Amino acid sequence: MNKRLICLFLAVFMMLSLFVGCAANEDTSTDKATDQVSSSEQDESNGSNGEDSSQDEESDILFKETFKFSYMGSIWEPHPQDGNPIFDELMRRTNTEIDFRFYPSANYQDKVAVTLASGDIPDVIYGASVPWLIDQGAIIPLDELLEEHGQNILANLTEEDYPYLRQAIDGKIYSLPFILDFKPAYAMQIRKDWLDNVGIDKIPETWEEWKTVWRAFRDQDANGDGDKTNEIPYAGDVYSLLPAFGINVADRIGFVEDADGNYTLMYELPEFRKFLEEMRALYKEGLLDKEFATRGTFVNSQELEKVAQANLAGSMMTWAANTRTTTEVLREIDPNATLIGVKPIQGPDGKRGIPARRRLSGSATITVAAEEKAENIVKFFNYVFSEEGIRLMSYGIEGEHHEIEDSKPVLKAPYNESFEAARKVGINFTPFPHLFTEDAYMQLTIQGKTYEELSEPMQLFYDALYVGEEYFFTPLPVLNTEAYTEKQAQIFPNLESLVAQCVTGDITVDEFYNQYEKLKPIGLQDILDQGNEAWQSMK
Amino acid sequence: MQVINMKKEGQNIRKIATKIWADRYMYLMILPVVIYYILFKYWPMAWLRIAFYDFKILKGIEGSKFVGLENFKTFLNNPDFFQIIWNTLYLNILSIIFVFTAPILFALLLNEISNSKFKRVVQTISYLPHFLSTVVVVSMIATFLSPSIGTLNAILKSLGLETVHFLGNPKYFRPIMIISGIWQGMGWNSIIYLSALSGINTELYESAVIDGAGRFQQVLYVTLPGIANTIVIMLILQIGNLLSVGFEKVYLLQNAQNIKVSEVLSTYVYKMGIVNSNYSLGTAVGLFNAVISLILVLLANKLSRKYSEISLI
Repeated sequence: MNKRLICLFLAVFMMLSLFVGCAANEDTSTDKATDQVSSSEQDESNGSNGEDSSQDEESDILFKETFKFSYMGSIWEPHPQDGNPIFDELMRRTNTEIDFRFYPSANYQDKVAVTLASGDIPDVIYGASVPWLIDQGAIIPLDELLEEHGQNILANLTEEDYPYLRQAIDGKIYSLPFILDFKPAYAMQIRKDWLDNVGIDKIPETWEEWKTVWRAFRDQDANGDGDKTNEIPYAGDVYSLLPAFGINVADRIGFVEDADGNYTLMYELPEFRKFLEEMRALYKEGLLDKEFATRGTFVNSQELEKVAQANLAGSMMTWAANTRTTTEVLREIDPNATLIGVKPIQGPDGKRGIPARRRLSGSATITVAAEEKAENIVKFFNYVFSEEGIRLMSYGIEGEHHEIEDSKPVLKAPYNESFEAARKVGINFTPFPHLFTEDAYMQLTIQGKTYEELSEPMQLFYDALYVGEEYFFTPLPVLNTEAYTEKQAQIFPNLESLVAQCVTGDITVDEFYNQYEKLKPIGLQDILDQGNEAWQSMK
Repeated sequence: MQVINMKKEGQNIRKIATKIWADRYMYLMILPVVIYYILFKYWPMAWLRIAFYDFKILKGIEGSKFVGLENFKTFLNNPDFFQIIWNTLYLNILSIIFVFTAPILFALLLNEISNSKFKRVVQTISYLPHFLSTVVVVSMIATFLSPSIGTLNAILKSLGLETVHFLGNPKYFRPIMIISGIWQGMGWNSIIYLSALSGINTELYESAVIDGAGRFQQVLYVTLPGIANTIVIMLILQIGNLLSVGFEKVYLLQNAQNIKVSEVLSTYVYKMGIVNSNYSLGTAVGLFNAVISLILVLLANKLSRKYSEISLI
């Protein structure tokens, strides 16, 4: 009998475990949705308890009847998944109920595909590939709706933003963006203490000066660990050096505008040959990172941080914040360690540049399932982009998260102490379209202090943000034309491989171009042609 | 006559039903596995059809455009097609030569250890890498082999040798895959051979000793023939996987410098199917892979039956 019971128990257990995995996610999202609804219900009931101010607002409220829609997005730490006071306030002010369905960002695109296939299509999808959603016929264009009901959204867009927002395939707008109006992001960085160790006082600027510094780092045991062979004079990928050659890109793909205003790839520019020749020479001399293909700002920035914090990297071009984090880590063992931001490298032809942060990122799209609700969804986001909405999303609720000083919002402690603290309560909730102001960004960056009150590593970060300001450039968008979507996974890994082989000396520069030309008939030429055509019509 | 036949049939059904009822708990135990295979292995096969369509999720298979063999043509016309197939085959042949044989040798060596405590310790340690996730393994490999922060290069430097960027040099990619594969799977994969070894009649060894066989000859003439069936069956199954390489490890170890040798079918399917979101092309390549694998298994099975009388079916 016991045996039978055990058999029965095991069989039932195995059956259940088969299905529990699938059901678990559904349950969580339902719970989350219920939480959201109940919290908004609570807020509503609080509101109806009769505070005068909320009754005053009643007449200005966006929707007379509660407007409900569902929102699917990817989320990451430290953004709160289970609701936050700012969203509650946003829903209260607009009389909206949003059924949020957040999922981890890993494999999020697959999750979107499965959700579409299930038929339970959310009204808004955030963070999925827009060209793919268009190709699947899953989303609707927003141009007319924005014109009619989204004037606040449009008012916050600049002329330069449109090529990033419009889709190459038909030139239409399909998504609502997250806007961060703050250009500084990257900085060229060098170890000031290494410069002192090798006896160089002047911060390098020109190509020759940089090469002199790199050679000194290579030869003179700049990190002082007794091993002359472990210094990496310039750490990270080679793409980060392209602006020194007048090729203004900020990724490995490399779309640029040529002298005639054509949208093309960096490989087509005459400057690229010079770049390859210089990179080969640097690699041969041991001045470049041997692992340039596997770490770097545009390859794997975590690996770059790791090697910087291991006291092995002399210079690099990466996020300005790296000056602070690396200095803090290194100072635990060496109090003199200092990574500073410097002006971008001036290349052999005197060109220099540093990528600015892209104003627009993210993308909330309205699905075909929400065609009837689309007008109200745009109206809702129009409120998010209104002055009130921007203030709410950037500074939170007055009295709770910020105070008004000299008629300007000032974030309160502890929310002004770090991005993490602010994000935990829903400020700067990046998986949701809104505009985050430069002022709020700076308040969080300097943690509510004055420059003088900041720690030295924080001052280094602050300085690094602005040191290259006069050389900022905005990289061109990647236009997802039909050819690009279809062929990119085949063409671009090949191109990266060719660049790597050429830099390491496995193939000559001429061989590189021979191989490059061979890619044209199998899709590269289509990518170039369609890209340029789309660019000319979008410009 | 027909009535008698029907009666007989009814009796047979009743007999089967009675037998099933008698062993109902056994069938209940099997049920979850059967359901699992139907749900997750056989049912999805119906969707292999999308290889012949320009599949759009919202339109479903019926609503999507039928494109016939277009996706297969796209794959076969890919200029990297032969390179990808060659990379996959080469890696798998090396894997059969080294990764497949290592557990056999390891099991034979373990079998020769008489101190059971030592044997258990060795076994346990050898199983451990199997339980590490691929991401962790790859991160360990990358750190271990890094020319700047890696242990191996530190050793090379201490010996006065030049540092080597192992992951950046295509010629090291396959050895890295094979050696790490042996390290990861040798212990765990030896379990099946150890169990086969425990099934060998000890009297055979006694007879061999009486006949004057030494240790090596015992292994050669008793042990190996004793586990030959298991080895052949495992080999046939392995041949079925000649065109599949564990995706995660290759993908994570892949970089711009080694992609010429590290691009295999599974990474290509991933890039086409998931990165490019071209599910139809991804499925077409997967289907192509499955058909070739099936042919290879049947061929290996036939050859095995012809020469050693051991086969799967």
